[in-house]
Amino acid sequence: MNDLTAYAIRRIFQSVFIVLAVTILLFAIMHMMPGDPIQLIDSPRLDEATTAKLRARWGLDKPPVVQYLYWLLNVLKGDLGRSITNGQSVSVLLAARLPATLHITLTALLLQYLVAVPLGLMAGYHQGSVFDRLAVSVTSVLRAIPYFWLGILLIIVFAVSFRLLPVSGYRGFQSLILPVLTLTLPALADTLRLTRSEVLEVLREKHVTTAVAKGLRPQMVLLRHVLRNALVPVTVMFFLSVPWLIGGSVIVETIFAWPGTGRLLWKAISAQDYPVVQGIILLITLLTVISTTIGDILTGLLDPRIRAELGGRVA
Amino acid sequence: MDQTRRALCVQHLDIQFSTPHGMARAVQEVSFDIHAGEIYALVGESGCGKTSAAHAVMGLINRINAPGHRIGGRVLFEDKDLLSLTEEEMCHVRGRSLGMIFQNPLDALNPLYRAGYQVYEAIVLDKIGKIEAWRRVAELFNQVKLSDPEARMRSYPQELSGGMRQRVMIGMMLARNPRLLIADEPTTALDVTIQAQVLELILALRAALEMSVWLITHDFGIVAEIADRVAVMYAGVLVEEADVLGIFDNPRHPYTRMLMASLPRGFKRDGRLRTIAGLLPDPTLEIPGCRFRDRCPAKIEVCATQAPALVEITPGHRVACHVAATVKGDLPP
Repeated sequence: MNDLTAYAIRRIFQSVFIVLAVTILLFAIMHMMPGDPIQLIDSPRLDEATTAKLRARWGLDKPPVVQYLYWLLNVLKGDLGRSITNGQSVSVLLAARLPATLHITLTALLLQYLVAVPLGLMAGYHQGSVFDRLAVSVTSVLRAIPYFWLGILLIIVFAVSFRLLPVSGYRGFQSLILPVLTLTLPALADTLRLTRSEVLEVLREKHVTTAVAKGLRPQMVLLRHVLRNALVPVTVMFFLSVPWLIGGSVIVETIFAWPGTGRLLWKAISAQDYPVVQGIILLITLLTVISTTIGDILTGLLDPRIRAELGGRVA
Repeated sequence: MDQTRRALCVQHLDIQFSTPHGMARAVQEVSFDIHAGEIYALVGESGCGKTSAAHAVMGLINRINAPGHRIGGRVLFEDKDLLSLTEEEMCHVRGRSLGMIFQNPLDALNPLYRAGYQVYEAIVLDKIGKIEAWRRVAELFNQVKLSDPEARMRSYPQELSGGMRQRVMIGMMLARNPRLLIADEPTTALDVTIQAQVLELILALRAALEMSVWLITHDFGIVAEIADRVAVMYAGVLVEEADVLGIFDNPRHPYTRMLMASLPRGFKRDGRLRTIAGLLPDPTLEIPGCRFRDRCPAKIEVCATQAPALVEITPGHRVACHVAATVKGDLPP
């Protein structure tokens, strides 16, 4: 068994435990809320015996551990409970909203990295050039812009003044442009800066001089020995940002009336619809764990030092 | 002198780096020849400009690692002035005709690629087929005496010891049969037994491949072991040049003599190594006269005003010192 397989297996094993720990935490928080659903019924017709019968029927008389196991079993079966506000199944609600969210967030994430990484590479390689200085100053401005302000600005310019794009809604490609831009532009700045600083750091490393000295052309040195090494931390960042795909677009989905999980989360929080909030948090947790696991395995694949270190062998 | 073929001819090499305190002159008007097939050692303390000179010859000083640098003079190699070549043309010289190994093999290899691939990468630049290139990697690993070459090819640099990494570096730089190998402190980062092995390897390969070696070191012990001719550099200028016997039997420049005296050898009297008092002069300052003056025990009046030229005092022995050039025979200690 090679280092990477050992590392991957360990990492996946860890993830399963993390997810289990999170479900326990989630369940505990639910349990810590005062009272139980039967108490909430609060009807004069309800005598002691009926209450006890109802408690037994819903399993509320069982010890918390048993209740947790029941709940976990339901979650595993895909049953996340029902929304308090409209009684819909939370899983059905999530399944209906998820595609819309993934639509803008995945597009935004891909766009962000496809644009930022090459630009960051160029800025770092041509450090101090006009392009680099422009990149640095533009990204400082972009980072400072809040999503809601940028979203509204884009709506005013492109939808209201020039009437080029729809103000809001979920209707085809054109309605995708403004929300994606709003999500991409500020995030782009961070990725560009990270790539640039990593490239600058790698460029100063001795092995780059070796690569030049053995006769490689500048483009080859840049791609094989500079970008390749700089991509390791950039990859880590990529997978760390994936979980925010679900909840991080709350503001943008609200501004653009986008029917996704972000807006659902916002509405559920305002209405104190806690089964829905829990469902979304569980989803974000799962996504966090899965994406960081993939990210870790991928960085192991990209960097043998990480692989050796975490696969249990000393580098 | 002209009957010996020249592998490299450095003429009036001048290197300046931009620093916050102004331009620093790292190398000043340095001229020397390296003959075909010889091991030429350039000796000096750290910061005297020897590595800068080598990097300039290799074209490794660029706007990324040294913004605002200036390089003057000529470096003739295979009838071309390397300093006037474009980056594109330089790519054909580097690695193929000119190889270079670096001081610290620990960070001179990319940690993300296998050792074999990093050598392979150099070989395939010569339009050699994949299988043939991998065969050549195995052959090179054998040639630089790496034990179990097949396994070493698959190792990552961090899985190899310092000595093994330096062997990989040597293999990588010999991959394309260069005419001249520049070895910048090739053994400084290695422990003593490994040092000897690496030096032996360089000697053996020089003979087998008929190449010239430009050895850069601060260690006269290494010079005595493998060099044919020696140049001593101080604060960016060449102060003495002779064949290895000439340097050891009859060092003329006070700096060379003091370097020799600071060697750990049998004849030290007081049980302690001698050191040379003082520091290198500030390279950003324009210094009139001799640059070694402040640390020189033999200085005379003219040293303060006139920089000594490098003159040939006996055939093949050049020295840049007002005192050494005039006094015959024994010099004051």
